[in-house]
Amino acid sequence: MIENNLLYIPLKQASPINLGEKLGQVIDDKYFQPSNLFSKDLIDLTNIRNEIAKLKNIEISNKEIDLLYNYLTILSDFLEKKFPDDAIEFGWSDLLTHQLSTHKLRSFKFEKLNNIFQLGAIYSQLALKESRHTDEGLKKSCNLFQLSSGCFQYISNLVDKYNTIHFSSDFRNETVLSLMNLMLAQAQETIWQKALNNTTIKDSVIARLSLSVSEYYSKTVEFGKLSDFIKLEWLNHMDVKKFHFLAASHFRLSNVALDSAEYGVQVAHLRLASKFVDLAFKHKKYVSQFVIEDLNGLSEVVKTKLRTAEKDNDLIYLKIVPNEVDLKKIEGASMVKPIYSDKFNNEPSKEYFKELIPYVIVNVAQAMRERQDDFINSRFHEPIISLNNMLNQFVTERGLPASIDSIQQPENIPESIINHSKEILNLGGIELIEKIILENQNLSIECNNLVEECNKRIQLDSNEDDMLRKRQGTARWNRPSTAEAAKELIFKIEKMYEYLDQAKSGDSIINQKFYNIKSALEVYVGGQKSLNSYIPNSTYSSLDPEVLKKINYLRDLLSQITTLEEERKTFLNSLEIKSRDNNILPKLIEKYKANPKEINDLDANNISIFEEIYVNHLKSFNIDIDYLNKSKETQIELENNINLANNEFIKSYQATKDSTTIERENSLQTLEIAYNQYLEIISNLNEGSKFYHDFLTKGNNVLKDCEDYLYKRRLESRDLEISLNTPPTPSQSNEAGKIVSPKSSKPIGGVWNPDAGIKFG
Amino acid sequence: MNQFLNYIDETFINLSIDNNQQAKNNCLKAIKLLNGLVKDTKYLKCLSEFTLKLYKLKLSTSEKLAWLSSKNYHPIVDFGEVTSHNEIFIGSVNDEMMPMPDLPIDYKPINIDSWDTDLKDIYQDILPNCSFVSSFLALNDKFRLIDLITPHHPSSSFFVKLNFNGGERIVKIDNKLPIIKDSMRNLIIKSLSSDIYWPALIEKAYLKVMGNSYKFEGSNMANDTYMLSGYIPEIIQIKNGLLDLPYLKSVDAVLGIGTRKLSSQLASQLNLISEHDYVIEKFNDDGSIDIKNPWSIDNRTNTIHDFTHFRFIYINWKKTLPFKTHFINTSTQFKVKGWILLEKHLPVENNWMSITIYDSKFKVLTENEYKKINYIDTNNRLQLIKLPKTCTIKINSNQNGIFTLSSGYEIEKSKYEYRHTSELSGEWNSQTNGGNWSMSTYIDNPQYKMEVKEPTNLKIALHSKGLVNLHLFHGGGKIETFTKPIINENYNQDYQLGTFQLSKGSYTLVVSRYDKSIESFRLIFNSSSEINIFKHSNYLGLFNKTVEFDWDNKNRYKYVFTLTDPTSIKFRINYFNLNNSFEIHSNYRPGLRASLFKDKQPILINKEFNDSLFGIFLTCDLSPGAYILLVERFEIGYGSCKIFIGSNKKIK
Repeated sequence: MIENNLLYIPLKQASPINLGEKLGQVIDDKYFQPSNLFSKDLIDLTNIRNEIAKLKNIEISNKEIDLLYNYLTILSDFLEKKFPDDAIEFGWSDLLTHQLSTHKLRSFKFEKLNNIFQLGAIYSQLALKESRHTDEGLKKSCNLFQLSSGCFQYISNLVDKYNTIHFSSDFRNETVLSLMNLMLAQAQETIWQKALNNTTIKDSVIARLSLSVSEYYSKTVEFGKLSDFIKLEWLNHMDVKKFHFLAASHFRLSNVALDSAEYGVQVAHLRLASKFVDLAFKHKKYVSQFVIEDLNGLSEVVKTKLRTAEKDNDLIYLKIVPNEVDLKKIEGASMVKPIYSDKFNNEPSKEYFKELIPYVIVNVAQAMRERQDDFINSRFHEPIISLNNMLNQFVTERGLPASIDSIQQPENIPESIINHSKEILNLGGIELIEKIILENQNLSIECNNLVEECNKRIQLDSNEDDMLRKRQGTARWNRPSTAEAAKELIFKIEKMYEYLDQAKSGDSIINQKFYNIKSALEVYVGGQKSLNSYIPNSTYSSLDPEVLKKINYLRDLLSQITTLEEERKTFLNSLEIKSRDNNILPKLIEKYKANPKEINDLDANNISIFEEIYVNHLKSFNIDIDYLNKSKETQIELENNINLANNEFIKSYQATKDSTTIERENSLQTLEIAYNQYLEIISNLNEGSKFYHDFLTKGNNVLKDCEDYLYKRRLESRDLEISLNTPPTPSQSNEAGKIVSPKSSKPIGGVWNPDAGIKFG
Repeated sequence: MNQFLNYIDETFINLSIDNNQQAKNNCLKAIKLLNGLVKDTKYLKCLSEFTLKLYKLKLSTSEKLAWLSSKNYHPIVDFGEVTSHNEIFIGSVNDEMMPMPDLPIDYKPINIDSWDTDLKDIYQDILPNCSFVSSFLALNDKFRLIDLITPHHPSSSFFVKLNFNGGERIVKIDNKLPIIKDSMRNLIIKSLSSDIYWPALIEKAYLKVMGNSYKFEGSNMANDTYMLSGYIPEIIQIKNGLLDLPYLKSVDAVLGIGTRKLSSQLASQLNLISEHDYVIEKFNDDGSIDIKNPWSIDNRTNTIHDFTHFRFIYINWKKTLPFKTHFINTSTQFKVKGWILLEKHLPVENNWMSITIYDSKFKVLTENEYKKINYIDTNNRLQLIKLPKTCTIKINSNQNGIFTLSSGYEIEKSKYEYRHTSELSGEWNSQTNGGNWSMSTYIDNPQYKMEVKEPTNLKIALHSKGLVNLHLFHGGGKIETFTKPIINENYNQDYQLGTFQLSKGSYTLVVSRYDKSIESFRLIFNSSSEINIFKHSNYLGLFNKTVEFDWDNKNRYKYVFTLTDPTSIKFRINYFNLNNSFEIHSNYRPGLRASLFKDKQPILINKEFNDSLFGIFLTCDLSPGAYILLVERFEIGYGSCKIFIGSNKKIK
């Protein structure tokens, strides 16, 4: 069969994968549910995908069509909805050209397009199986071609719709539209064929049908010439057909003219027919014998009729033969159109992954958790730290409470210093800073190592590439150099080195700051004893009750600062627990369970539906935002009051301080400043630590990119080496049975090939 | 009757140590004693009835602890019509010589016939117990101190009732008191105006209980007032000389105030004594207070305007906390509300306690599980805690001992949120210190299989030292790679908490440290339904063997082995960069694959190369024969490789 004057589209070849196993891995890696919950679905899918990979040209039936439709439904209704689009890499080899090329893409959409392609190919093959000698057969055949055409139109629409994805080049419009029109042309040709069998149909009608066939072929050629995937013999076939049916159309019109005794017109049409037949012959190279036979037949008839007609006209009718442009134009009569099968809208045969929470939920939950952490950090932690720092600075700048402590409390360690000492000790004292400095140094080393590792991957590729380039010669080794191929990665790595340099200089500034206050910190962590010996006593002089009242008022205000800071500390701790216990995932799952369809039908990029949940979720923190605002207002008010009270105090305390008081005040002030610096250094160090951690996270992604790059380059160089080392072969047969597995999986010399026999030694 | 009381006390102690036979014997002896008395002896009926029921009494752990807490000072027994703090039970007490300061002292019996209760002129002299004397002064018009002692007539022995170690206890003393020879100075509490000695007897009982006797080292007024009156003690630190005077004025309590350490110069300038407790006598309208010095000096009362030089306010609330529980274990957790008083039993030395208050009705698994409402730490042996609502409190102390918690409400031991709790301990040893998941040894960490039979809420707490973490995976089998765990928190210092809602199925728990150090750990599982937990073996198989080789610029290696018995075998193959004992995830690793042949026929074929950080695994059941394990790497290169082999039979 199929050895006739029409074309069928060869099936693509699917790279075999264990789809169930791969999906299982994806579930285990990315979801919160175990893959064994879905083992039945996974086995099912493995089987279905295996069946699809086994499809062979020509040996097809309706069973395979149902299989494909079912698989397409599974892809659209379950896999695309429950999994990230790039979960699995699919490979498809294209058999349209002589050159076997495999395209790989991590996309369910890619898998879908290929399977629709398979359907289109199957329809084209089934169409050719129908009898071309019966009306019934022709009718069916015509329908199948139109269904096939519908598949390609569907592909074209989908490719337009998924315009952000770079599918393989065989899905570019020129190829797909060429195939679509080819199928329409053949469908129309089938109609034409059927019309020929019906003797009651007038020549004028057949002429119009024929013209339409030619027009479809014309479009097919037009797109085909732009495509790398439509081979020359097909283009020739299409060209022959295009001119053949144009010629045939004129031939029929010449009959019409003859019937109405327009002998000049008859001759004109026959001349055109003859001209197009000649044009058709110009493309006969590589074209199937059946097609050429048809053309020969037409040519003979046309030539004979033309000779007779010209003679008759010259001798008998003496009619003027009109020019081509003066001939009455006819319209092509298209009886076909792409048919979009209802089966694309089939209900799924069963529900797959029913209990699987869609990836979009898992993903959104993760993203929102991160967002929430950021939110808590930027809306609460950071503002409170800076408010506290401002407050401490405000107080220290006014020499408080050192100024009143040195007057009122000539002995003992003032409360604020004891508190600072306690807090410093609680936080971890000097060791804390030294520990974080060391940790940051280690992190910095780790970051440097990571960048080195990234660099090493690129370097490996560069060395290997150089070696092979030398071995194979620059002319033959014609792939891009490392510098070119890894341009983006090399740029990223350079940037990373720059960031690390900047961080390093930041670190050394903090270290300097730390060494400046280290001796004061030693006093703090030495406890009561070292504080007592550091802070000198001053001489006591009793205070005027009025001054005492002012001091007490000032003290009261200062103690409100402590209260405020403690309140904030408790607030932050509680907030941390609140945030942890307030996970958004259950809310998202709830939303999903309430309306799974809505979520399932979501476009993966359109997650705005969840934004609302997030916004509502964050509303539970409104009360905390209110607190923070109030706390801020309290601080401003407190600062104002302290400022006024302190001015009052300074005005009223006229007595000159004796030297002991000044000494005591100075040492207290030194300690106060050291405390503020201590807090500042810790917050600086934490920022540094955060920077390095973020760097590691991002750096690991770059490392992964570098690893992927190296892997890809190695595969590429293997393939290239193999192709350079094997002598060029004449064009390969494209019969499906003989297709070799994709090259990249073929190990090279030295490594044992499990597909070959075993030879040890 | 004194012997009768001894038998009764013995019985309680025997019951407390679960020696029921001895308890019964003591009861019988007590009954015998009663039977020997004449019929119309006072209280005979109630004492007999009490004793008959006594040996059958079941004491709670808490009650047992009350009896075991201080052997010499028994809790007061309530017989119904009479308590053991009654003169009928007094026998002869002969105190051994109490330790005395280095002074010419005459320690002699005093015949006490003045039972005057006017104590306004009572004062402290040589003995540094300002707190006790201040308490006495402060309680004078608020509490019948004289009722602490019995009898109120001359006697050679007395019973003194004091409030300590979880309740009222009897301190038995004789009538000897230390008198300094040929001196007007006193070692005992004295009154200026009258010749009363009974306060000195109470003081003696107090000193006996406190441990150092007349070589007294000091206390504080709140504690002492509590010992005398049972009024709930609260100590407030004065910060920056700030006092909430209106509040203090309004409380129904006994009030005192203590100074800071002051140099003698400053002390005399201020007319205050360094580290001294005073009674607060009066709040004046101008914001000053009148305080009374326990010393007998010319001007015992001071008016204070500036409180900078004071450190503590002592408040003893006239309230009672009737519900009590006694316990030993620190880090015990209780569910409590309202006011509670924590007491560490005497004797105490360098004691320190901390109380953490959580906003939870449930027992706390880890520090960060619930919101902390408050954290108190103190070196005082008594601590009042005021709770805004029902909370869980966790008590820690640097010293073991017996503690009492008193409350206005029933005290419950906290329970974990869910019904089922199990605990297990383990360690990261030199084989299982796998480190964090970025190390190739992560999967060597202790692993547990958990079987969940129905949907379950589960909390897992991990306690150890250093940065630790726990990961839960679906499956239940030993994990061989790091797939997505059910939750993934950062490594946390000293503990980690995991909260899960699990469906029916099997799970694998891995506990790990951030670094590879050696340490022990404890796991607590608390779940709403029962779960079974099994530990996975740390070994690949029953028999274990390691083969190591260098790649040496090759890409394949053949390991030949022979089996004489049918054998189940598992291979783990890891790549190592030279000199590394483990790899971290950013290190370069070539892809590896391994296949198995028997008699040159393939048994198990792997086509794919895999560069898993944790190595590649091969499991098979093999019949006897000669085998080749072919290990290959993606590209030729250097570095080494280890093949770990575990099997159920020995491999030759």
